[in-house]
Amino acid sequence: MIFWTHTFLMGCTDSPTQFQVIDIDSAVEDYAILEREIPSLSNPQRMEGTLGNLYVGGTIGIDLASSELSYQQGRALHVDFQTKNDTAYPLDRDGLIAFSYYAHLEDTVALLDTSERNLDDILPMHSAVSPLIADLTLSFLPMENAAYVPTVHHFILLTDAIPKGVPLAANKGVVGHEFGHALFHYLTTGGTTTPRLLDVDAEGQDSVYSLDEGLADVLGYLVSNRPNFIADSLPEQDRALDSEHLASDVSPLPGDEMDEGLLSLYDPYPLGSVFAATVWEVDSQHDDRTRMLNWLLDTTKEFGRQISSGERPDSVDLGMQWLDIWVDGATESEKMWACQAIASRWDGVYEVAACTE
Amino acid sequence: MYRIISLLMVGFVSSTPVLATTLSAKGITLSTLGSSSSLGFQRYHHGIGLWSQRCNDLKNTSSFKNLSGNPISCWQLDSQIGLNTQTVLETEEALWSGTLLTSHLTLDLSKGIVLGEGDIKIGLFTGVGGDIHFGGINQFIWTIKPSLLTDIQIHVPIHEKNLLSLSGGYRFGLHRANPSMTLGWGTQW
Repeated sequence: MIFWTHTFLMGCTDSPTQFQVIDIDSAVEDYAILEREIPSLSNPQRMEGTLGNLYVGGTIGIDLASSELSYQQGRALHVDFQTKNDTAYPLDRDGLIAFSYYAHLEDTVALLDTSERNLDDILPMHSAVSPLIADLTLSFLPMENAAYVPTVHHFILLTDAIPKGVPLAANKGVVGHEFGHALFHYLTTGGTTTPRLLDVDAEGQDSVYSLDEGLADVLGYLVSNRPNFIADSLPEQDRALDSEHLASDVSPLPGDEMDEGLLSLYDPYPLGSVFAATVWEVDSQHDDRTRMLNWLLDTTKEFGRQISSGERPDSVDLGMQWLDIWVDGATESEKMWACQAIASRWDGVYEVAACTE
Repeated sequence: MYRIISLLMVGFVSSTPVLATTLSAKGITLSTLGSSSSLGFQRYHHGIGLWSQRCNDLKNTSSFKNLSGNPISCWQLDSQIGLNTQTVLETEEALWSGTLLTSHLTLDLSKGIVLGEGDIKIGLFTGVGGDIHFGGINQFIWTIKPSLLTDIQIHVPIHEKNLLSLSGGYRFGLHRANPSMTLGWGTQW
C-alpha cells in the first residue's frame, strides 16, 4: 500500500537503468534524443550522484573584507519523470536538460579518467541552478549561460533566454568547457577551493583569462569531438576550433587597453579561440588522444607550479607563456606540429623560443 | 482555477435578518497556472475550465457580519485543463517533432466566504486540489501533484444573472508553491 501510494503520488519513480537525454548520436554524428545509461546518477529525482548534486537557487555571496566567495546551498531538485521498461522519461524539457547535463558530466569525467593524472579530488562537482549572485562580476553574466565559479567550486546553470534545440546545459561541449575551467583551477592552484592563480590586478590576468577560456574550449572539443560545439546552441558565436583564428587579428590584445572601472573591458574569447585553434591544429595531426590529454594536463599543472613558485614572474604575456611549457613537454614530432601551429597562429604577437632554436 | 462566486445579493443586501438561503452558480474561465519545472523554474500553463458553486448565507449572528456586509459561505468545485509548449530537439519519434507539450488537469474543492456590501464582492477561499500533469516527448508521461490552495476573488455583477470574476492565489504542493490566475464568467440560478 505504501509503495502504491508513493508510486501514485510521485508518478512511478522506480530506479531506472537508462535515461532519455539529448546526446550525440554516433551514427549520424549529430545531437539526437537518445536513451543511455548514467551510472553515476544515483537519485535522478533529486539529481544527486557521485559526480555531484544539483540544487535550485541558493545564494552565491561575497565577503567584502576578504573578497572570498561562498555558496549558501539551495534546495534539492524534484525532476518529474516516469520509468518505463527501466528507462526514465522526463515529463518536461527541464527534466530532459537535467538528465542530459549529468550524462555529459559523466562523459567528461570518463574522458579525464583515461589520463595518467589522478583527478579524483575535483569531485564532487555540485551545480547551482539560477542562484542569487552577489558578486558584481558574476552578476553581469549573460542571461543564459553555464559557468564555473572558482574557489566556490560549483557550476552555475541559468535558463535559456531563447529556447533552442540543444540548450547550453545539454550541450556536451559546453559542459566539457565548464569542467575545463574547474580543471584549470585545480591544476594551476592545486585545489578546488584554493584562491585563484592570479590576483585581479595582476598584469598577466587578461592573457591567463584567455588561456583559461581556450583550454576550456579544447576540453569541450575533446569531450564532444566537435570543433564547433558551441554552434550547436549558439550558432552566431565565432568560436570554432577548426577555423582561422589568428592572434594578429585580435584587438585589443592583453596590455593594449587599460581596464576601466570595476569591470574589465577585455574580451577573453577571441584570443582564447587562438589558443584553442592552436591545440586543435596539433590534435588533428595526433593519433593518440590519451597522450594529447596527458600533455595538456601536464603542461597546465607545470604552468601553475611555475607561477605559484615565482619561477615565472607576472607579465602581460603570462598566458602565452603556457605555449613555451607546452613545447618543452612535447615529443619530437609533437614539437614540430606545435611549432608550426604557433608560427602560423601567433605570428607577430608571440614567439616560442624553443621553436626558433 | 476558478473561484467565481455568484453575487447573491437578493436577500443579503437588506439589513433585515433573512432565512438561510441556498443559491448556486456555474460558469467557465480562462486560466493561467504556474507549475514547477524539473529544474525549479516556473512553467505556465494556459487553459480553460468549468466551475460550480453552492452558497449559503451565514445568518445574522455575527458582529463580523455587520462590518463585512452579509458574508456568504460557499463551496466550490472546479476543474481546468491547460497547456504549455516547450522547444526540444526535433525527432521523428515525437508526437510533435521539435515541441514538447505539457498539460495539466486539475480538480479542486474549496470553501470560503464572500464579503461585500455593494455590487463588487471579495471572496476568500481555501481548499485542496488534485493536479495531474502530462508530458513526455515520445512517451506519455504523467504525475500527480496534490496541493493545498488559497484564493482571493473579486466579483463584478454584469446584468442581472451574470458576473465577471478575477481571481488569484497559490497552490502549495509538496515541493513548491505555484501561482494561479483566472478570469471567469458565470451565471447564477
